[in-house]
Amino acid sequence: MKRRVVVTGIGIITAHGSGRETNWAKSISGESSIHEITSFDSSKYKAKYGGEVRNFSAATLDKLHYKRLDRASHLLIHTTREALSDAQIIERTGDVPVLVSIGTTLGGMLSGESFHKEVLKKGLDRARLSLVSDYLAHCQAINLFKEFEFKGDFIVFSNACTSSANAIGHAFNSVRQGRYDVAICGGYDTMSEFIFAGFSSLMALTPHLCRPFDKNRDGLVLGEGAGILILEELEHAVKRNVGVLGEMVGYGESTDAYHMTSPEPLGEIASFAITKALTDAGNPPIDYINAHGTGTRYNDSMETNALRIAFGERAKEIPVSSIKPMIGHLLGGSGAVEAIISLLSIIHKALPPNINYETPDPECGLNIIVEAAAQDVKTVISNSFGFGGSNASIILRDFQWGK
Amino acid sequence: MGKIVLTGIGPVTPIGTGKEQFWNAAENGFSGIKSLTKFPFTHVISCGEIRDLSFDDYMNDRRFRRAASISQYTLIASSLAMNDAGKKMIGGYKTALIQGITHGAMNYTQAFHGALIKEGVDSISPILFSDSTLNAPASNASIYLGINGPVHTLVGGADAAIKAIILACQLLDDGIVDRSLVVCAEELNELSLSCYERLGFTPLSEGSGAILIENEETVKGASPYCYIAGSASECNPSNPDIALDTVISTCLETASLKVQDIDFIMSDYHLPAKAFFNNIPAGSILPLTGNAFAVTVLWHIILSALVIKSSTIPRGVIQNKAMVSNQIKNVMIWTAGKEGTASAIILSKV
Repeated sequence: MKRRVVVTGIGIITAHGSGRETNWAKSISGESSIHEITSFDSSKYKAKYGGEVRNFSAATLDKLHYKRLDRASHLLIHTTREALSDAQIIERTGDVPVLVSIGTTLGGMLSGESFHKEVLKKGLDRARLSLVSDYLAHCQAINLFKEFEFKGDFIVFSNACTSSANAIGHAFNSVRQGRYDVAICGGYDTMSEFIFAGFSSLMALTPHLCRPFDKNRDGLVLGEGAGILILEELEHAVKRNVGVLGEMVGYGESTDAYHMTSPEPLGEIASFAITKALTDAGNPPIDYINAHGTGTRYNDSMETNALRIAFGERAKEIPVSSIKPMIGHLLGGSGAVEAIISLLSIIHKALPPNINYETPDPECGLNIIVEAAAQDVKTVISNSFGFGGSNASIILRDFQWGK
Repeated sequence: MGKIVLTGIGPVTPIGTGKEQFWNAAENGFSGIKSLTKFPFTHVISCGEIRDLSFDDYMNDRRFRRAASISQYTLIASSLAMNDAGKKMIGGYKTALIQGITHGAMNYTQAFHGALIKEGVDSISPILFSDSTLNAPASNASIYLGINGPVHTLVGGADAAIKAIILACQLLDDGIVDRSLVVCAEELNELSLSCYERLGFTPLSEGSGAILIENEETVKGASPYCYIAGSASECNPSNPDIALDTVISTCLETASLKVQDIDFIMSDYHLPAKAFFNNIPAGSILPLTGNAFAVTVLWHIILSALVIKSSTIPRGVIQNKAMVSNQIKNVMIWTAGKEGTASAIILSKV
């Protein structure tokens, strides 16, 4: 028999700020945290905006000298600490082995950029090796083990924009199947010029406002941040006497096998991930769809098609929104951050708006949430789709005894 | 739960491509470590390069001709493993592809970033960018093979190979897929070469390896190389040696075996300081190929599968003087890193 998996802690940092209260307050009020980019010179690009994490200090790290670490580690350690504190893990878990399941697209790319710039300036033999110590994409997970002295193992998924959704899905299956009682899962990514230039070269960035599902949508806006969830087997959480924030009940994934950067346009393969998650969860009625909704022409029409296939006529009725116009696309971190906002919509019984939406697109005939709305949200599906054709859907619901 | 068996292998190595060349080189101790030729370097350096490998000789698909070397290595190894298992096309929703990787497409990453810095925004290539993402090799392979099931790129050190196999086995155990292709790949790059050389970590290597694993009951009538009897993985940065000891113990426990049941060990790491390990034949491909991180571990796994199948240990890889049994039933492969990561797997005769 499959075990029940509950969420006992969350940690989040985005352009909205740090912490769940700040992120929820700004998300539900429809506040945009998209501003002109300051971490590099964006004046040479047509698109100049992004969702950067500002006023963030990494000085709270305990055991590691924070200056040596990449910003990616800073964000990840910060949010993990918040989630652990929320779930009272350090105090009450003791020697229980934990699974750390993390997703990222870039890892410590900022360190890699700095190193390469030094190579070009000073030469191969004179660039500082210390700059690359935190470049590789699994180093941040190892840093978590160093910082928090976990017992257990880690796994790092790099599946582009579904990375953290996959990491959460893996953690969910691992706890449900009894491989671990506790999993620390989620993901992160930082704002780097490398990735900004890459998306710019693909003409995927909007120089205007990001407006998912709008007829006049013309691209995405990048963001940065991290999100961590503590998934725990129900009985284990009960024994620890910690609060339960919600329950994860379903996960589905699929791969387009279609194109490196374009989604399969009919949405048939993506719908498989959605349907799989629904079946996995026992086909509950869905109250809210937290869409991947990047604001690109191809993604949003594909996602609409996938939702139509998976939900049939109900696809027109279920409220849908994307939070990316407010905080940007966090790439490897987006699935985790959006799962957390989905969970908060259940906790607060309200739906965050899809800001900047003005003109309905007949190709995207969905029930887009234009303004925040109070609603008795019990079950939410959160979608993630990524480069290389990876698709993942997560289903969260309110926690009830006996169900 | 039935056994998970290994039905196909595909090595792309500096000592040969395909299982026959690979085995022959391991048997005869042919070294693939030679002076670097692929790009100019500040001084003479030895590496395990893939040379004289024509993509078109193995793949008749123009879509991937401009793909990064690491993607091409991934595609060739995947194709070899599939053909070895007698499967022309294994795609669809019931197939997974799990890739273990350490650095990714470093040459495209360097070229893209270099063009951005030196020549400006207008000179950068979207193809270089999309192929530089860490999941590009696995995605390209999924496109080529038509795999619609889980396709994951796991990033790590050498342990990424065993982690990829563990995840692939879990997907089989949970009934999510019927078969999993596990691939590891790396490509040589001047920046990473320079860094590792300065750290005293040479010779480096490149290439790929792939294995196809399936549930035993779904491959009735086939003659698999071996089955996966046990596995374990752990991270303990404060004490790497304890991490390795723990995974070896856990791995034996999951396989219901004792140390004395192990007939051969393959490792990229020194033997734990326990006397009884000295009585077991130990080997490594590293002196012949160089270090390609997770790929090396997968080469060890591929070689171990051939060892079990043939009950013969290739002379060129043996590293100690322990007596070799004439029946090789269980082979343990382990890896460990200075950062406290350790993983182990046991392959056993079916």
